Amino acid sequence: MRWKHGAWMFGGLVLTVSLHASARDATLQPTTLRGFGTVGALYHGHDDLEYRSQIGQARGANADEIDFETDTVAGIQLNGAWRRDVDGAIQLLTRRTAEDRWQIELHRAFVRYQVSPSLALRAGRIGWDIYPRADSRYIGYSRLGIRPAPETYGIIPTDAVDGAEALYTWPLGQALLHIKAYGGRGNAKTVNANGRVNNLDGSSIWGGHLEYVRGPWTMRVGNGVFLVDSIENPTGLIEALRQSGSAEAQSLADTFSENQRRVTFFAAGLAYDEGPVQARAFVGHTEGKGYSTPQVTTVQLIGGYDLGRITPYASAALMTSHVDVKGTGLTDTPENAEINASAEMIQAFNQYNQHSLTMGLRYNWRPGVALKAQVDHTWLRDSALVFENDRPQTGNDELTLFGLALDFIF
Amino acid sequence: MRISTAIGRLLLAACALLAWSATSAQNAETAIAVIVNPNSGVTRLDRNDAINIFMGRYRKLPSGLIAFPIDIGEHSEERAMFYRRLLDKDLDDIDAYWSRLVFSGQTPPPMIVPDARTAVELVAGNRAAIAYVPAQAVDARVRVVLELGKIPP
Repeated sequence: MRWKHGAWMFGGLVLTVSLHASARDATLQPTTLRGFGTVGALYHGHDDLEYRSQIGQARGANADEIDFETDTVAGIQLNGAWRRDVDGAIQLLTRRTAEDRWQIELHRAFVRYQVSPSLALRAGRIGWDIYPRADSRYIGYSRLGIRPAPETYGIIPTDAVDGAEALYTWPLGQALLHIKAYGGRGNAKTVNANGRVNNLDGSSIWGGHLEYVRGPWTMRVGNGVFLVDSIENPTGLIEALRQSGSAEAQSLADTFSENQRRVTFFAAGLAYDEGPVQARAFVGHTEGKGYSTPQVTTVQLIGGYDLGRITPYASAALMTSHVDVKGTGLTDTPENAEINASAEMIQAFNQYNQHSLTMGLRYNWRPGVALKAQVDHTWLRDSALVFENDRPQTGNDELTLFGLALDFIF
Repeated sequence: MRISTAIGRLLLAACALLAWSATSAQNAETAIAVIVNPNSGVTRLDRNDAINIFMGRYRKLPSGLIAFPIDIGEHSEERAMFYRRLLDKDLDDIDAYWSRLVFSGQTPPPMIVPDARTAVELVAGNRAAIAYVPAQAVDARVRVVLELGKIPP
C-alpha cells in the first residue's frame, strides 16, 4: 500500500503549493496551519482488565498504571482555498494504532466545491460521520467529555472514507434540512484480544443521512453500510468443525466460511444547544451479515451546563449485542477442548455488552486550551472492547476509570 | 511602609476594577451592526439568517449570493460581543464548535480579519461579504442589515 500513501502525499504537496500561491488574494481564506490534540491520563484499579476505548486500539489501559496512550492523540491540518467556492485540507494524525505504534497517518485530504449555497461536494479522504460527530472523534476540544463514549463510537471501524460526498441544504422556513450522501473505500484495522489484526483496507462504505435543524434543535436519521470481503477465514477451525459430525458444529462451520461481512448502521439523534445548555440523545443499531460482524444497539445521553469557564457534564451510554455465542454441540472432552474454545472465542470477539455512567468537568483554561477531569463507572458483561488476560472480557464485571486530559487547538 | 504599599495596591486594584467595569458597561452599551455591501441586494437580515451564515449552516444571502462571512480577530472584544448577542455563547463555545467542523473538514469558518476597519473595507469591496462591526465603525460604503443591541441587564 506504500504507493497509495505516496500518491496521497504527492497530492498533498501539490495542494500545499497551489494553496500557498492562492493566498495572495485578500478575499480568499488564507492558507492556515492548525492543530489539535489531547494529552490524556487514564487510571483504573481493576486487575486483569485492559480498557480500550475503540476496536482499532492494539492495547488498552492496564490496572494500577497511569496510561497516557488510550486518550492521547494529536493532529495538524493545512487549510486553504483556490477560489472562494473551492477549498481543501490535508490533515496528519498520530494516535495509538492497531499495530501498537505511534505513526503519522494521512487522516484527511480533500477538495470541496461549493457549487451553490445549497450544494457542496467533497472528494478525497473525507470524514465518515455515520453517527453524529463520528468524524470528529479525535477532536477532544470540540466535545464535553475526554473521549467519545466507547459504547457508541468504539465499534465504528474507521472515521474516514476515500471517496466523495454531496451535501444538499434545503431551507424550510426557519428550519434547514441537510441531505447527505457519500460513498467510497474505507481503510481500517481492528484488533482482537489475541492480538490478531483484522485488516479492513479496501472495504466499501456508502450511505447518507437527513438532518433537520431548527433554532437550537438538531434531529438526524442516517443509514450506512460497511462491506468487507478481505478478512481471512479460520480455515483450520472450519475443517475441524466439519469433520466433527455434529450438526451444530456444521452450522458454525458454514457461518465461519462466509467470506463477506456486511455491517449496516442505523442512527437517530436529537441535540439541543442553546446558551449555556447542551444536550444530546442518540440511538444506534447495527445489523451484521457474516460471523465477524458486530450486531449491537447503542444508546447515549449526554448533557452539560456552561457556568462560565467551567462546564460540568454527565452522560450515560450502553451497548448490547443481539447474537449469543453458539455451542459446537461437541461434548466437553479433552479432544474437543481446543475446538470448543476456539469456536467460542471467535464468536466472543463480536460480543459487546457494556454500559457506563460518566461525570466530569471541563475547564476552559485559556483560549484554545481546556482541562478535563472525568470519572466513568463501566459495567461489563462479555465485551470484546475490553481485554481480560488476552481474551475478550467475559462474565459480569465492572470498573471505575479516572481520567484527566488537556485538550488544545491552535 | 508595608501598610502604605498594601493600601497602594488596593487602590490600584480598585482603579483596575473600575476601569474594567467601565469598559464592560461600555461594551454592553455598544450596538453591533451586521453589514453587507450595498450592491448585495440585501436590505435586511433576520437573526436566523445571521446564525446560519456565521455558523456555517447555510451560507446564502437573501438575494441568492453565496455569503462570504467575516469574523473580527480570533479573540477580539467585537467577536466575543457578537456571538454573545447572537447565540448567548462565549468564544470558548464558538471555538469548540468550529474545531469540530474545521478538523472534520465539514465547513470552513468565517474569514478572520484583524479589525473592524478591515472588515468594513472588505465588505465595501465585495458584493457577497458580510461582517459585524461596532455601530460606530459603520460608514456610507456599507449597509446595516441587522443590529444586535445592548446586552440585557
